[in-house]
Order: sequence, then structure tokens, then C-alpha cells
Amino acid sequence: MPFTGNSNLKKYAVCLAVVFFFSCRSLVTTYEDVESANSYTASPLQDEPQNVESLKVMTWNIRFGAGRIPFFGDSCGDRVLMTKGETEGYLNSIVAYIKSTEPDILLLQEVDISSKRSSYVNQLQYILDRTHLNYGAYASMWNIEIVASDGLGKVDAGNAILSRWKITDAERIKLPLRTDQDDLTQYFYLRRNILKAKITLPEHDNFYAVNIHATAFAKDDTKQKHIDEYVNVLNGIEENDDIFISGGDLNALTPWTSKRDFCEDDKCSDDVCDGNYNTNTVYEGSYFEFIPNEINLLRPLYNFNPAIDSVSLQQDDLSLINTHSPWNTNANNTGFSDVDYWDRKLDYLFTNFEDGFINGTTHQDAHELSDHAPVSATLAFP
Amino acid sequence: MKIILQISFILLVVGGILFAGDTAYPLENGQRQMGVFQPRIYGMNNNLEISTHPLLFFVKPNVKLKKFYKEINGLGLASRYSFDYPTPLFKILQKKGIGGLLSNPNDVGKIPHLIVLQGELLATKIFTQYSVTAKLGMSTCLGCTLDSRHLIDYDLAYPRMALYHYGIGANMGLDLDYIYSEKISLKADMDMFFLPEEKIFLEHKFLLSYNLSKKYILTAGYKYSYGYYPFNKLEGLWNLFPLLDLSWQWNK
Repeated sequence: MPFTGNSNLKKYAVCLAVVFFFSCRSLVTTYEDVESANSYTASPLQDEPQNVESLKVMTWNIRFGAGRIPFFGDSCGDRVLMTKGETEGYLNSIVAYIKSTEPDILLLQEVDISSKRSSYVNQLQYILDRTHLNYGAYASMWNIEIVASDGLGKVDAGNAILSRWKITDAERIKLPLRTDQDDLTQYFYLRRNILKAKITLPEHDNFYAVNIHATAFAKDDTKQKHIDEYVNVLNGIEENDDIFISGGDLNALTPWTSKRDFCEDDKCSDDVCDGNYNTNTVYEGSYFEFIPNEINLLRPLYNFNPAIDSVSLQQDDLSLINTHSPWNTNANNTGFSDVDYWDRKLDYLFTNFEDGFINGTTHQDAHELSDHAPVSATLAFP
Repeated sequence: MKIILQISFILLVVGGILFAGDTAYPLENGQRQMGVFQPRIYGMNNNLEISTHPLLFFVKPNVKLKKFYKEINGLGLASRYSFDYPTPLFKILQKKGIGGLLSNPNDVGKIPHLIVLQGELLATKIFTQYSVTAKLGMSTCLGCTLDSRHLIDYDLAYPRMALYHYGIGANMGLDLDYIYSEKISLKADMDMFFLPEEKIFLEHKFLLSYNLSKKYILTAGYKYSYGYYPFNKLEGLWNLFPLLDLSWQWNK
């Protein structure tokens, strides 16, 4: 939401906005460094397995249940507010996919729990109530009473952990804000987080799930800070001899991806990829070399066990693990194969479980449900 | 510059809502009153009073006419009729980017012509130092079927905009005006809004006015709102807004 005009006008606009928006109920929810996450329970509860020999984990950015609707902001469209029918239609497809893949623990990003854009459907509760998953933890990354831009209105969206078993000790860990925005924009912008929770697995009293959605559009070093904090959280669990499964939408490419500029893939009809990375906003989210040595950004995470063995893949095969699809100019998103539908890997799963994951899968068949593909993998307990 | 204008218009609209006052008695013929956020009020002959917000008129044509009838046992009776056409303002607010409080026409649809008519009955009883005013009103926006996604789901705005979706609404309220001294007066009121398929919305305000001089009046206080919005149908939500305004009065 860039401001235009001279600085005096900006200040005047800020003052007017402050006068207009001043009320007892804060327009923007801000957070402490670490605070409790919100808890959810399915209705009705399903029987939870008492004997766990294997554990299937999945991560998925569900794009607030908007499927591939051409929204403003993240695609080249001008849709802003879905109808309830649209929202529930896409959520039903997401629910069907979750039921078909049967994850025991599910990490979701971009879950709306009270947003005008998705008709105020509480998507976390909706999924819990319709799947085998019983418990949920939620940490908001964008909780604003009214976003006075594009008619977006109220937003409450964030990360969620869903599990068959009870979730305890759920924490929202604050991630640094972007520093490449003016104060007003930053105030109303996303407040990203890491969601960490303990899963009460039978026979495992030290099992954690960690979910992250790192910054996508920052051109400063915010992405580095987010990944550093993420690695710190995971190392903290490791140092306590606890086990974690972790993942999310890291908005970062693997160290083995040579293509770092996706401007031509992402641009809309009016955009020009002119190489002005720092001034041309089309590069936000499309260019992956804003920070020094960004190619190695995720390398520390590979000290843990990844769900997808990117290292052994040949360059030509890397497309098999891609999880993100840009806005395709084909409005119906038809005529694509699984592989060419997705063009970069942004979504990851890691564990410190010593035997690592088995059956790591990138679900490239999950077309139409989001602009991200789910990634799943299984832990096999001895 | 556009954003400044937009915010200014919104401030004026909100200010008009926040500071609205009610009494059956009109200003005397030739008397004029206006505030930063309050409309310009003209006292006319034949116990008539006309008010409009001149700055806002260009984007939200509006006019109110109040007619005082008579006193019955010390109870002053009046009726008030208003016309409001918010369509141009909403078209300004229907935009992409900052300031876009309503989503673009390709998403939810164009803003239709919204012609709002309101009729109210006012009854005021004046005592030595204070007066009490009761109010009962009906509003109609004939043929209005504004998509509910265009409604701004926020305090004060929602119950007023919902009229453009439902086409009909009612309101009632009670005002208490107390003259503490030559310079200080107090005002407290309670308003209720009734809309089809919605729970009652409540608003209350308290104002303290200080006569800086014969012409200028400084007013401060708060506005309280309570209601059930589309995102909290099960639990009422309240909010409190600070109020501050400068108004002035003069004779023609």
C-alpha cells in the first residue's frame, strides 16, 4: 500500500487517519514477543489413535480458501470479497483433499478466521468440524478491524496447527516487521509469526509442531531475520532433546534452485520487468536475491531432515518438487500438467527425528485449491 | 491529494453522526449555527429549521427540514424530514488502493442510486434547567438492494449503511439537555436502530459544551456504540469514541 505525494500530505493524511480511527477498540492488534496462541476444538470430536506407529504430517498454504480466484494483490485480478458460497465451495474441496490424504498433523498458512474477504467463515473451525482432525491452535498474522484499502475491510488471518491429539503449550512467537515500509503502511501490514505447539502424542511427551509463514514481499533483510528466528526456535527444541516436525511457507527457494528471478512468470499485463529490483514493485515476491547470499538462506534448515530430498535431485527434476503457482494468464487454469502448473518450491517440512521422514510427497495434483501445493511426509516410529 | 479529500469527507460524515443533536424546538428565525463537524442550521420563519452540511453537499447531497407544530401541556411537538443521497460519496470510496473502503465495481458491483428519506417525530419537554426530548423515526431507501459486502462492518457505519441493503429501518431515542450555568451545558442521549434481520444497535453520547464567547462553543465528550456485526453475530461489541468540536452561531 504505497503512499504517493509529498511528505506534508502524508503527515496530514496520517493525522487525519489517527483522528478518524481513534477509538477504544484498537484498529490493529499488536503482539508481545511470545504469547499464547488461540485454541480450537472440533465438533464433534473424532476418536484419536492410541497407538502411533507412524505419523503423517502435511503443510499447506490454503490461500484463505480462495482457490485460484483472481484476487487483487497476489494475482492479476480485481476480486476482493468472496461470497459465502464461494468460500465454502473452496473450503469443501480443501476438506475433501485433507480427508483423502489423512494427515495426523496439519500445518496451515493463510487461514482466515474472521475476514470480510472470506465472508467471515472461521476456516479453522470449518476444517476441524469436517475432518478427522480434533484440535487446533491459531496465531494471527493480520488482525485488523478495517483495512481501508481496496474495500478489504476486516481481516483476521494467520497460521494454524491441526492435530488428531490434544495441543498444549501453543505459543505465538513474533517475527520482525518489515522495515522497508513507511510507518503507516507498516502499522497496518502483516505481523508474521511462528506458531509452536506441543502435541500430546501417545507414548511421546516431547513432541512439538512448528509452523511458519515467512515474509514474501520484503526487499530488506526481513526474510533473513525470519529464517534466523525460525532456525533458533528449532534449535531450541533440539537442544532440549525434544522432537519436532516443522514447516510452512518459507517464501524462499531451495539452495539448489538456480533461477532466482520470476518476474516474467509473475508479472501482470501492465508490469514491466526492467531489472530495477529495488524500485519496481513487480519484483516484490518475484525476485529471490534481495538479501546477500540469499541462495544459502535455507541451508541451515537442511541440518535437520527435510521431507523432500532436494539435494539428490537433478536440476531438471526440481520441477517435481515445486509448490507454488503464479497467476496463470489462462483464467481457468486449465491445460496444465502437474509439473508445469507449479514453478517454484516455497513450502517445506523438516524434522529432527533421527530417522527422518519417509514418503515425502509434493501434492502437485492439488490444482485449483490454492496457489500452493501441500507437502506431506511420514515419521515411522520404531 | 485525493486521499486527503476522501478522509476529510469521511471525517465530516462521521462527525455529523457523532454530534447529531435533537430537540423539537427550532432555531429562532434568522439564527444560524454551524460547527466543524456539524451541519449548518438555518432558523426560518413559521417555526421552520433547515440544515445541511455545505461541504459534504457536493459528494453527499443532504438536507433536513424541521417543522415545529405547537406545545401541548408544555410538550413541544415537531416533525423532521431528511433527504440523503450518498451514492457519489460511495463511488469515491469505491476504489483500488488506499482509501478504498468499498471494493471495486468488478468485484461486488456498482453502487446503485441510493435515495434515503427519513421522517421523525420529536417531542420536547422543557423544565427550568433541563429539557427532555423523545424521538421516533422511520427511514426508507426505496428500491435499495446494495450488496451486503459493500456495507462497512464497523461501529456507527454499519447500522446506517445497512439501510441501503434492507431498504427500511427505524430509530428511536431520548435526549437530555442540561444547562448547568450560563457558560456550561451538558447533553446525554441514547439512540436505538432497528433493522430487518439484525439485532438492535445502541448508541449513546455525552457532551459537555462550553461557551467560549457569545459566538463560539467548544464541545467535548464521548460516543458509545454497541451492536452485532456480520463478524460477531453471537456476541455484542462495544466501542467508545472521543468527541471534540468547535461550533459557532450568529444572527442573519
